[in-house]
Amino acid sequence: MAYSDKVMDHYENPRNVGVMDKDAGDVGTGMVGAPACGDVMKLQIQVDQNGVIEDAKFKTYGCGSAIASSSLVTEWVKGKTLEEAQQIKNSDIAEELALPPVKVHCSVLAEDAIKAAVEDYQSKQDK
Amino acid sequence: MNLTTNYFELFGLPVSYSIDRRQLSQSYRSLQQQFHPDRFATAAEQERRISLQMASRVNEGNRVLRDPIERARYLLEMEGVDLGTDGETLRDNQFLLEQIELREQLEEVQHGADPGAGLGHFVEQMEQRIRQQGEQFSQQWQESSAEAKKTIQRMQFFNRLHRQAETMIDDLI
Repeated sequence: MAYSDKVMDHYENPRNVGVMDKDAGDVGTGMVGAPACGDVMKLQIQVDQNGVIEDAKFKTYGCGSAIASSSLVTEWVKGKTLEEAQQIKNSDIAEELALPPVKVHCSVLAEDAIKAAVEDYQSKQDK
Repeated sequence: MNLTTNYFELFGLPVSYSIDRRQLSQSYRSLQQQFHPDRFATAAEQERRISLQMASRVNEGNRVLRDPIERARYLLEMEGVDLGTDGETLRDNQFLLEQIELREQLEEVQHGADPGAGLGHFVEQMEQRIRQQGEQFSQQWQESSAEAKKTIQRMQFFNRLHRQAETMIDDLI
């Protein structure tokens, strides 16, 4: 199956690959996995005092579409508030990357990863 | 025997996760002979068609019962559990953390001093993990299908690593 140019671009030059300190108070970590294919995605956000995402990093073990989806999401969430980040829809990701139907679950994984990261950050603030 | 018996009945095995592989192999061979297309070459059209369907059912059943994950999925499907895992996301942090570590480990082994031995060992480890999950599954599936389903999902993650390591071994040769 041929990947779209955008997927190839993110796959060959992934943005924001890296790891943040998961124990830091201003970092939220989202970890998700897709049982169907065994892909694993870790997405982290660093949030400032105003609830704006300053930085985002990811590490994904999976196919090109999963890597591209997480790479794209880290680009998108930077500068967004937590609420805005939670509104990212997998369909937006799939559309932007022109994912074929069989790869749509990769974009679902990326949406779930950012939601999990925001929830992790929020649960730290509640403590 | 007809087309609607389940695979366990078909092979004369008790409905259980742990199976007698020798019994399965024996039944498989005798069923294969019984429905071999050559034996129906001169049979009536309908009989020939049924034997073909049976032959393919025997092959599919053997494949499913032999595979630790397919067998588990089949048992739950027999119970009427919906396994639609596609698009479902797992959010078990502890498990996923280990999965990431295993993937990092696999990369290290691949680029290590003796990738052949290292990858072989990794494959064995994954087989062991799948077996462990299988043992768990056999205790769970009649009690809690929700827990059993999660165990299948974990098996699938280990299976993915298993396949990945095997592909790496193939690439070495």
